[in-house]
Amino acid sequence: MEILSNSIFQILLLTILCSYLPFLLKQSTLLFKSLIILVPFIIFCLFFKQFFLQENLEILNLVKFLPGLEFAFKVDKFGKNFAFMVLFLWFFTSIYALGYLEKKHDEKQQRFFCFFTLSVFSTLGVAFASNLFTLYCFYEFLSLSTIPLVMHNGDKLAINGGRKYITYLLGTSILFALPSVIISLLNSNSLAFNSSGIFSLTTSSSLITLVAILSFFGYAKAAIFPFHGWLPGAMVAPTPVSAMLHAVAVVKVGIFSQYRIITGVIGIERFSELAFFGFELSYIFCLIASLAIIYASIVAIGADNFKRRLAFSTISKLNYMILAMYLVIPAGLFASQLELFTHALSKIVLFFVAGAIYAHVGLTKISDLKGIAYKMPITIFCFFICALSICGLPPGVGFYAKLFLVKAIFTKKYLILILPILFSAILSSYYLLDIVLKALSRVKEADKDQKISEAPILCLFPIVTLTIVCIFLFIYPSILFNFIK
Amino acid sequence: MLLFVYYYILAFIALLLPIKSRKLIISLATGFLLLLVLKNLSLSTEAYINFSLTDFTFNIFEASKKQKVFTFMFTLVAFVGSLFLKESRKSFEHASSLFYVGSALGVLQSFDLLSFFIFWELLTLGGVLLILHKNYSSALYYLLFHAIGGLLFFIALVLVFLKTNSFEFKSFDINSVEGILLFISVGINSSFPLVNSWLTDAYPKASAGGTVFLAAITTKTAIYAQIIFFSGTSALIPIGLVMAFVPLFFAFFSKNVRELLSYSIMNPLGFMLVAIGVGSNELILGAKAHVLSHISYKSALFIIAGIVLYEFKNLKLGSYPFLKQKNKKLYFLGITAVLLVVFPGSGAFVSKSLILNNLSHNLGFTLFISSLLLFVVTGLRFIDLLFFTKNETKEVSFKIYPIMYLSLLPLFALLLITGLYPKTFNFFLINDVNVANVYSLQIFLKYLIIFSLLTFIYIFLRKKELIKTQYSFNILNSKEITNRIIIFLKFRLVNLVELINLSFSKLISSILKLFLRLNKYMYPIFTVNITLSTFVIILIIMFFVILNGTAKL
Repeated sequence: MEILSNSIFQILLLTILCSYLPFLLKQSTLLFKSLIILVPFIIFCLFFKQFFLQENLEILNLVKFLPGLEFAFKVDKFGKNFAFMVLFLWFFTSIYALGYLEKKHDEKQQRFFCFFTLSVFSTLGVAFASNLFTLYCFYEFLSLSTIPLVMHNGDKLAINGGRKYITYLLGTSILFALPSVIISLLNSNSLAFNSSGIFSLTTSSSLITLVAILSFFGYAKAAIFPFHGWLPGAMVAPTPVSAMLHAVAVVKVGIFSQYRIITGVIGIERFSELAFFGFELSYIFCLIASLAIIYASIVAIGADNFKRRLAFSTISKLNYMILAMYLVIPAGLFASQLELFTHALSKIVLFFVAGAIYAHVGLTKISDLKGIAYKMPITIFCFFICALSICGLPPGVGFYAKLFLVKAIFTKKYLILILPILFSAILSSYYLLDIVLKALSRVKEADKDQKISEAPILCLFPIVTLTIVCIFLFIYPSILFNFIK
Repeated sequence: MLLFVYYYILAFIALLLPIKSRKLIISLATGFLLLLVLKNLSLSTEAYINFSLTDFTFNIFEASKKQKVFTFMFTLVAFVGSLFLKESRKSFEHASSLFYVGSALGVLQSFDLLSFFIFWELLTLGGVLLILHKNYSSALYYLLFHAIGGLLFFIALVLVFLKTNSFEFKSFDINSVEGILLFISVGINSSFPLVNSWLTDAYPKASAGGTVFLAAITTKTAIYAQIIFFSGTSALIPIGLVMAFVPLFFAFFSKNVRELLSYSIMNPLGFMLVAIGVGSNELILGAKAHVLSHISYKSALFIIAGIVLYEFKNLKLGSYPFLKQKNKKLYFLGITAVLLVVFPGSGAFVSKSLILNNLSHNLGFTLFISSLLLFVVTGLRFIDLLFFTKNETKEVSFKIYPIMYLSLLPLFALLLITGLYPKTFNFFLINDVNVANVYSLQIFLKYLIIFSLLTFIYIFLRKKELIKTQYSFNILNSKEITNRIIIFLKFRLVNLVELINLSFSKLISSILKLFLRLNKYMYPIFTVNITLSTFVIILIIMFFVILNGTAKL
């Protein structure tokens, strides 16, 4: 059994086996809780040992269906970092989810944690995939394994949200992404990612343009403009799901797939030559992304529901990454990776805070939040720091992401794209800091006498720790830069 | 010594201290820091501290001649303000004010554009938190303006970095793109005409103690930025002249005392900007001297207005009785403060003369007229509104904590010392200032005659009721306009966009539903059946295999 010593195989197998573990135990017991916290920790430690301490760059060829069509895995720099981020945040989300579900007296925790682990498994599959076919399969598997989480509450609202989720994600991937995979398969020898692209030089550029357009709209998990509607719809899910999946795993898998299409399938040099009716294709995609940025920022101002506002903020930020990526220059790719990691780190805290307030006080509307800072000062302080990071202001680590994004735009000389960034930066500092200011604004004297009572410690611990990480990375950004480079 | 770190630590301590001992400890600590700064003032060491990171180097330096007067004044304001602040339970006013001062000191101590920008943004946040203590909407409005300014600064920063590949300080030419962006950004902070509404909106509405900090720091930090980036830029001269005149009229017609003071902040700023615009060495020194005296007297006036505010809750006209008779001590202090604004013998007079004497004749004369108008507004009108207006008489027991009076003491002392012995300016500016022809009998008589004439005219017009206590017309309110824009964005545009989105998503989902009826088949997943989803994947794989096989055939 040579395959058992392969570290990619070990991690994938361990994750999928652990997904069945919650069913073996009764929920709310101490053993169950410790298992839920231990599993991500062990997998994270194993991953860290295999790939960061030993610099293991292994290849795993699992199943071969036909020539050019196989399940194959490989670890490269970006995939490794992406998996690191997901596993790191998975650990904290598990702790948070335990606290949250206990507070809400949820009775379906076994199912919840099973599918949660499964979706992490499929995210890891995407991160390690070494060809387009594997990536596509795990992309679909991620959509399927998150549906039970979105519909977790089981009421009519949740089922409607889940239905929207399926329609958008499976619809776009089957309509657009699948044909693009098929076209690529028929016109190339192998689907394995390659920095110069999988197509030969003789392939006509109109065909590649078709592939690029189909994959741009096909991987709609990145909240591509007309197909972003699933993200606000998916906010019916419990908050840990929104935090982990709809701010980190699922949406970032969309970004990751788009990244692979540019760098692995088409190739940076080939991509920048593509044109659509005389316009540069990358420019058109950037314009679509900037349209989405403006649109999402405007809607976020009007949203009064806490999670809905955060969802639109996420859409806006995801399109920052898409814009940076489709500049198709190394500086842009770097900026988009930086944006990806910093956004994941700070946005997950914002969702945690929204959930902590909902679980602890039962408030979901922003207009009801007046004076909450006097009750939950630590929570609101952490929210403040991470909101600053999202707006790209110091002392949040997002500052560097914005710096490199603007620098990349100037380098590429698409100066018109500065305008949406400006517009949305002003609006984002308005709609996120508005929450903080509302929470801090003075209330009646009678309300001010209430005692400080924070959310349960299991909810508070991840919030505080990740905020400290956020500030720490602002002071020592070199860690982050070396991590990406 | 990294001064700003001490203030950040102090801000953090202030959050943890119990309410009773908070004011005492913070005042003692800020007083100690003030003495420390005063002791090191004459040392002209320039020690650099570098934080090297992969891509950037943060240069933060200890002390330099350039900004010593700013450092001293900001620490003085921190001390005076901490004495004056009235702390209530569960408020964060001490902490936010110390954070604010610390950021301003960070701006002064940073020596490259990147660290400058970071502290610049932190300064905005400190200001927002300080205003927030009293007023939510003004804080948001302040944030909106400074967010725009910060972004323009940010883009200028990136442009500079792309051009020169470093963040070094240099003076900018406003004909270049980054120069004009930086000019507007710094201009927003130094309340240029048309972008000044954040100042006149937020300062009167902040808490009485918070205004003392705000009035001293945000605009003066901007003046410091103007000195290092734009000294000698002639565009500053007309802007400065407009700022020296127009706001005074707004101030005269404003309805409450703190609004009057807020508008009149812009007059000395205009003086400084004209001086920086001309840009000769003496004038820059004059501008710095004027920073010293302006912070002193404006803080004193705001403290006097604030003492009344603490007792009467709001400082609208007519809501408080005949203050002159109620509180003789306060009246006396008010008169003293007003005299120290313009009269010979105060530091403000000396520093103003330093600017006026070095300007060309025409400019000097224009600004001289403006300083007379300033006397009418911040002198006569202020006293009139505060002490001589009676609409309602209601009995109020008037009790003021002596510590509030104590906070006025260092300010008055500073103004008097620098006024009576003008050579003390040399000590604060670390430079030799020519103060030889500031005072003469002729000048003294000239001012005395003009000021008494103005006072008599004012009293005469007031008795004839040609000058009213309250004017009914509204001054142009740009906050209203901005709020309307936001409401438009919030409701009208959002509705429109959502309508488009709804039709979009309906169209898309109807098309998609034609292709797949997956919903029905996906539903059994609910019953925790993982095999089905794997089955679906196998189906997809089979689909591929078949398709690929037929294609290859």
